Parts: sequence; C-alpha cells; structure tokens
Amino acid sequence: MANTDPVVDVGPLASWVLDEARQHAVVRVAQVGAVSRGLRGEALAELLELVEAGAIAFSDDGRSIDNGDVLLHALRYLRGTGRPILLHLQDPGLSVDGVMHEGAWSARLGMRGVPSAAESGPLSRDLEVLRYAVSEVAALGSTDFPRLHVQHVSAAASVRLLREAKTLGLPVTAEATPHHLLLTDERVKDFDPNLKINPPLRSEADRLELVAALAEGAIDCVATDHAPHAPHEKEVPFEEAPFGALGLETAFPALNAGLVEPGHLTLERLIEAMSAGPCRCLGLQAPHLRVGAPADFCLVDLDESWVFTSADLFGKSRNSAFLGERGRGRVLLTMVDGAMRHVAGRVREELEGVQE
Amino acid sequence: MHLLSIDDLSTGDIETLFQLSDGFLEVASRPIKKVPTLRGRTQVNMFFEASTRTLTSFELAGKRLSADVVNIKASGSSVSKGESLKDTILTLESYRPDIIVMRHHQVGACRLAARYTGASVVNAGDGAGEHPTQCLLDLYSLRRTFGRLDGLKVAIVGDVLRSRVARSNVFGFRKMGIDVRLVGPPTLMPPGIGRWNVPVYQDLAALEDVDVVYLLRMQLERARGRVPPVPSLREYSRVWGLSRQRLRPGQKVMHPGPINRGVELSGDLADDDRSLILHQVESGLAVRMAILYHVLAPHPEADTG
Repeated sequence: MANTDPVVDVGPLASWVLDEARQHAVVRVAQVGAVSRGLRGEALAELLELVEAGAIAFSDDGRSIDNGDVLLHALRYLRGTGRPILLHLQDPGLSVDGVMHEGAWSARLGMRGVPSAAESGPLSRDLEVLRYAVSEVAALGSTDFPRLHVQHVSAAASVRLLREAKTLGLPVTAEATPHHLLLTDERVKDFDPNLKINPPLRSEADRLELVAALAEGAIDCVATDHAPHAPHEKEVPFEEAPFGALGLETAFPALNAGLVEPGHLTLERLIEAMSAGPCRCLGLQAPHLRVGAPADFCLVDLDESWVFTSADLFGKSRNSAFLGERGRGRVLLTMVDGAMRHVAGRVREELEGVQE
Repeated sequence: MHLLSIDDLSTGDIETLFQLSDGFLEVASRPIKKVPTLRGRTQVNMFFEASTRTLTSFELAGKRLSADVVNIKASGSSVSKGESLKDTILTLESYRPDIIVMRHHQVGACRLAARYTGASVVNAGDGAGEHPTQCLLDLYSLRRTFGRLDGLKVAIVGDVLRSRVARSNVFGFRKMGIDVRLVGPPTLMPPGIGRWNVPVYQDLAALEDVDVVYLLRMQLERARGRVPPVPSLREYSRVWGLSRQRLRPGQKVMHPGPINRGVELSGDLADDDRSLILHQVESGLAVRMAILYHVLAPHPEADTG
C-alpha cells in the first residue's frame, strides 16, 4: 500500500521498493500507488509514471477519497492502463473519534462508535461515480472500462450495494478480512487493543452477511489487511490504541476452522478466494499447477487442529486478533517461483542451511 | 452580420474569406501596407481578458483597412468599476460603432453583446466557448501550406476541455473536409465528447499518419480551486509533450499560442522548420482584415428592406 512514510506517489519510490523486494523478499511483492498526491485527496499523484514503475493498482488506503471529483478524475486518467482503484471507505464525519462499531455494544461499553453508514454511504457514492465513468467509456464505443475494488468490506449494508452493482454488471470487486468474517463487536467487551481495527468488527448480522457474500461470490476474495504494530503501541487502553491487526499467519487455519469446518463455506471456495480470487481483483495472472508454469503453491496439512500463540507469528509484531483461537490446517511448505521459501515454520534464511 | 460561432459560416463564406485574405496578404507585402477599404468606419476592440496576439492582430487589421480603431481593456475601464456588460455595450452604442471585436472570459458574452448593438460583433474568444477567427486563420494557414484542405488529417492534442480553439477548430475543420482526431488524457476531454462523433485517442501513437499535429496550450490556471486535470506539467510533458523525435519528417506542427516551451512542445521543436506557428500569426492578420471587410460588406439576405 502507498500509505507509508514517504507516501508512494511518484514512480521512483515505487521502483525503489520493488528493487528492494527483488533483492530481499522471500515472496512476490507488488506495490500499490497512491491515488492522490500525499494521500491528501486534492490532486492526482503521477499515476502514469507509477504504472511505468510497476504499480499494479492505486489506493489512498487509510483514508477515503472524500472529493468525488478526485475519484472521477482518477478513473478517467487511468483509462487504458487496466489498473483498478482500491477503495478504503470511511466517511470522515461519521467516523470521527469512533473506536468500534456503533451499535448495542458501543452503547453498553460507553465508547464512541462508527456506524455502518460510514462505509456504505461513501460506497454508494463511489459506485455511482463508477457507473458514470463506465457510461462515458461506453459512449466512446470502447470497452476499456475503469475498475473499482472495495477493500475490507465490513457492513451488511455495503454487501447489499455490492450485490446491486454486480447485478447491473458494474466492474467492481470486493474483499473481506478473516477478522470481519469471524469476529464481532461483542468481543470488544474485553478491551483487547488487538481487536481495535478499522473498519471496526461489526455485529453478528453483518458478519453472517459477509460470510454468505463470500460463499456466493458477491465478495470476491479474502485479504488480511495485515497491519503490524510494535507491542508497546498496543499495550495501552483500548481507546488510545492504534487501529489494525496482523492477519497473514492465521488467515487460512482460522477461516478453515471457523467457516469450512462447520459447513458455511466449501474448502474449494476458500482456497479460490485466497489464491485466484485476489489475482482476479487485481488483474494479475492467477497461479496454476501445470507443466512450465512458475511453481507458486503451498502444501497444507488440512487436519491439524491447533491453538494460535504468539510463537506462531513470524514478524516483529504480536498484535494478532486470533491469539488463543483455534485453527485447523497448517501450512507446511511454501514454494515461490520454484524455490522453497518456507518449510515447517522456517523461512528462507534458516532454510539456506537446510538445503545444503 | 456577426461572427459569433464558426457555425455562422458556410463553406462558401469561408472560401470567400480565403479569396479576400489572398488579396490582403499581398497588401502586407507592399511597402505601404494600407488600403482605404474601411475609411470612416469605427471599430471597437473590447478585450475583457488579457490578449497580445489577437488584440494586436485585430488592431493592425483595422488600421491597415483605414478604420478608426479604439481599444477598450477591462482594467482601467468602467468594467472595473462594476458596470454590467449590457450597460457597457449600450454606452458604446451611442457612438454608433460599425464593428465590435470582443474577447470575454465568459462563454456566450459576445452573443449577449450582439443583442444590444447595431454593430457587427466579432467573437475574438469567449471563455471556453469559441474562437472562430482562430479557426479561420488556421484553415487559411493550412490551405497556404498544403494547397488544399479536403482530406487533410489533423490531430488536435491536449487541453480540449478548456480550449475555445478546439471547440471552433473541430467543427470548422470538419466543415472543410479535414479528418480531425483528438489526442490527450481523458481528463482533458470534455465529458459528453462521445456526441461529437470525433475519434478520441489517449496515446501519441495516434499521430502516426496525420499531416498536422495541432497542439493546445495547457491551461492549468483555469483549474484553480478544482481538481487539476493532470497530476503535474512534468507528467503531462513526459507523456503528451511533442518533441522533434516524436514528429515524423513531413509532418507540421501548429499552435494557437502562447506556447509553453517544455510543456506541450519541446523548445527546439518550436524553432523547427516543421513549425507553422509564426506562419499562423502572419495568416491571422490577412484573415482578420478579410473578416472585418466581410462582416461590413452588403449581404443579400440583409438587404431585403
């Protein structure tokens, strides 16, 4: 994502990140460029230079694009590049000072909430802007339509809008995170800062709607919205803590245990939503197991049932929303472009000794 | 008659103007560049928006035709004291001018002026609306260069959205049989352009088979307070700026001026012998003399009384 310091809003920064990743990363890394310069939502970033540098998509992730004309300009300007715009939806007024979902539990706990409308409101407008941008392209006799992808959908109201848009044939895709698919606002009653997430964990009704949408395809894929924070940042009162949780290490086993095991989702759909699904949303080539294709795959023990602890986390951060939760299935091996990058809990550096 | 839009002229009118322009071009080559054609006529140039080349061109055109020429600029006039356009026109009308040449920052202002005056109004540019005399001088410049207009291929590149030149040229060029296409980022094309029935391209590759590349000035100053149509002049010039290397031999470059060297075209291209930019200015004087003469000439349909 582009919301780093400095913001990735010019080509050379994206090139630098991708060069570093080529030298050091154990997996494939792609860069998303900023939509607006400095994420300020006023003027477009140098989008074509970013495309040339390798940006696969554009997002002002972390904030919504409040000025509809900025979104319309971006959709028009990116015409012909095939690059989608990824939306972080958050009405600045409706979400001001909110720390959790606005509903029965925020009322009970006495914390300021963020209503579902803070997400579905801007989504409704952005889908109308997309509809207009698509009609412009159609009027020119072209099929080079702009595309939107909705990040971390959390509310049932947003799912309803997505279903309507897809019925109309609008070029829009969407993702949901494991935490929104598995956890609800009730869990916030223990004030665990690792459950302070943006958008917030919502009601059980919202969660059930997300699961149904993922199963039927109105939500296209699963994304983790992985947001590491140093332990000391999260060791503060809930209201003071920064937003965000880890998600990468626990995504598959948590969803396998929480949705596939009880029969809410098929295993095939979960695998699709975590592999080919994201590629489809981003316009990337989906991985395939066939002769001559790059060997990109995971080997998973589907049966092992286990409980997550901080020892299962690979990074420097510990802010997982799933510590103490049960997972089913364990990733035994990860191959990237024909090379083993992770085997039984050990990543590349440790593996180099093993392979010799 | 007035000249408010390029649509006011038939192809026959335009041919007549070209013939007149040929004559006035010859006048400009004489040691004494003045003819008595409009002696005793009054021409008021009302420029509510800054202009150098258009005002100079019209002033010189009137003077070479021996008209009495008065220039009014927005600053230092009663306009800056809050007078409405209607009252300014009515006041001038008391002097019985024959021609009012008007440049205004708002679309349709010339049409409003025409309603309150008995003079012939010539639109010298109204907002992002039209610039018919620019279109005529461009057509004349093309005709002088290529010897014909029908079948020429012209690409108009850049800020079509805010360009009155583009609005007159697309329709005027097509009227004369020129094959017109538009090239530039979609954010610089007017929304609704699908209805113009003109091919629109994003990439300079669309210049490959054209005879002429007509560049427009980037008018970012007109976007103040709104979302800028392109991220930066740097990205614009990198992707859409024309350089000598991007122009094939034999292709010509035109520009209504003022040019921004290093933005829509490279500095050396402006000085290249494929550039018609100064040729356009020269054509402009002869064409404007022809226009001033033509709008005051007796017209059969106006003579019925």
